[in-house]
Amino acid sequence: MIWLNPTGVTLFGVALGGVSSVAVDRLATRTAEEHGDLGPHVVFVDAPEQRVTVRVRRRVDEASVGALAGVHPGSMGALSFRVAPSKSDRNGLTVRVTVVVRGVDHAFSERDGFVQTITMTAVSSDGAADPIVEEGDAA
Amino acid sequence: MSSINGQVLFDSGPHRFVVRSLGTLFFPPLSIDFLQTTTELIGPIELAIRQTGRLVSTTESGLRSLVDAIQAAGEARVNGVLIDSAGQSWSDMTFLRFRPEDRVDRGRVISLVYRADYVRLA
Repeated sequence: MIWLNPTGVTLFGVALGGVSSVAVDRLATRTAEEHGDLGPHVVFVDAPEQRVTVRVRRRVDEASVGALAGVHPGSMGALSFRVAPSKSDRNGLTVRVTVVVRGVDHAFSERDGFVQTITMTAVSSDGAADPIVEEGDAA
Repeated sequence: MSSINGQVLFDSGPHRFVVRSLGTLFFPPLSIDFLQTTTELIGPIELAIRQTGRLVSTTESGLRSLVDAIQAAGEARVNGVLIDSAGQSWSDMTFLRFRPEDRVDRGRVISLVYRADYVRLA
């Protein structure tokens, strides 16, 4: 899942500008696989342990370069943003997720300038609930 | 479908069977003391079959029910014909032990890896 050009991106209470995308990667960190006695092929697969990784990618300018100065690997807090199919914000969604920062890194390209990528692991409230919470606008 | 004495206990998930050591039990030289210079023969090894697999349920209570039924069979030392998933059978086997792994896996379904032991008691 990837959201392009989200608005109102807030991380740890800090409004982040220049966000070009928020990507959510889901990966099984442990799979349960079983074979039977009747042949060579897997007959059971499940993903009992999973990790949801969130990556916020944003362009950094002089005004926002220090916005996340206090954020370090291991910092835990809330990420929220809004996405909508059009700039009118009609039928939009608010996405909320509790995250732990795994890394903040930077790259430079002539086309995009300085790009900051914040890589985080999403944390579930109880282990069963999906850590990515999408809230649609009330009708 | 596998069974022990006609009871189908493990078909909720995949499982496999293996025959354990066969032949004669013995102590190799020097295993008792340094004066033991020859192999000591003890006697025929009991036929033992180990089953490994995974119990699978869609609910916590369903998994609990599966384990309860297996526990009851193990405590009752159910004895009879053991039939494996491929239809191979062994007579006069006793279901002695069920050993779950250290965690219940909760993904798409709820499942539990285990080991079960059957022995043809002398």
